[in-house]
Amino acid sequence: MERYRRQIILPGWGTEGQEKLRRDRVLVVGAGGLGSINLYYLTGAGVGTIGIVDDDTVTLSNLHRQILYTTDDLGRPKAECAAQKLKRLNPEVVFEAYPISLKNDTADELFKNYDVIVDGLDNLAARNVLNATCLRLNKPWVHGAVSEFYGVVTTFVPHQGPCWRCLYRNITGNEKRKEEFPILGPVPGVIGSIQAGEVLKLLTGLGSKLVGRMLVWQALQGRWSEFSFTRDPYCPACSSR
Amino acid sequence: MKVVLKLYATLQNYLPPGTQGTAAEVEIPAGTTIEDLFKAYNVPLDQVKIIMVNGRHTDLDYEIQEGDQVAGFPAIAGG
Ligand SMILES: [Zn+2]
Repeated sequence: MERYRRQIILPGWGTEGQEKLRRDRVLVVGAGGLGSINLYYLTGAGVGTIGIVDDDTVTLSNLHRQILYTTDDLGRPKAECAAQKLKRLNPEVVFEAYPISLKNDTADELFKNYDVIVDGLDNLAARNVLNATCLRLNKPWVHGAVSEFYGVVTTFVPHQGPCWRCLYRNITGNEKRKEEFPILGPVPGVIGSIQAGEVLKLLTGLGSKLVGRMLVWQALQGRWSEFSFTRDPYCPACSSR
Repeated sequence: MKVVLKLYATLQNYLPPGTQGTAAEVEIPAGTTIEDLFKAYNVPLDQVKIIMVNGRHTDLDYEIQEGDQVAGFPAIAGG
């Protein structure tokens, strides 16, 4: 427990909180800019089992922000490479690597054994699958997304608060993945860190959830703003109408 | 009449020059729709993925009322 001493002494955490965390299971979908960061902190914190989903391999243009990887890793599958790196950070964590992409027909099977899902995805269509699956299986998830100088983060708890489609009601799910979006390296660092914090809050029950509020980091202006939203009674994903 | 225009992230560049933060008070004639307002500030309509007035979803053809808070949000999709 020496490894976790500095978080165990946090108000409300204790050895009980740490023991609970050891039994918890978190799935990170996408091990890119956001995943690089949230995976590091979740591993360090001692989440018992961490699943990593990514079908991509490490490329040179990833490395300005995906700090989980090094130049030696070019061409390696991210899911396996990430698991190997993180195991060195904390050998007490069990890693489950899935070098696959998120698909509607396999997502239920993939998600069902995890307590919290973390969004490290890079496109709208896959997030639509993530949202639908979490609604079906009643799994909370922490959304993060970044582009240019901007990042957003919020938490979705199915049927307690709004869902991702309550926010993006006009998304069809057929949106093309943008091959190359401009991005300032530290922006996913900021958002990924908040995601990890939100996951740890969900698991330990500490604090209040970031539900119905989206934090927006605007690096260029050096400003945070907050975007509040509620359940959409006509939501195509979570409404019963 | 006076209304508040809120534009976030990549859309922030379309707020009136000198705006601090994400919100600006703007003057519009009665009968202005959200589409009119966005066009007046050259906001690219195809990039606005969430439109809310006073925290509720609405559409481009909504006729803005005095004191409304009109928010536009883009889709942020990267990871
Ligand atoms: Zn919904």
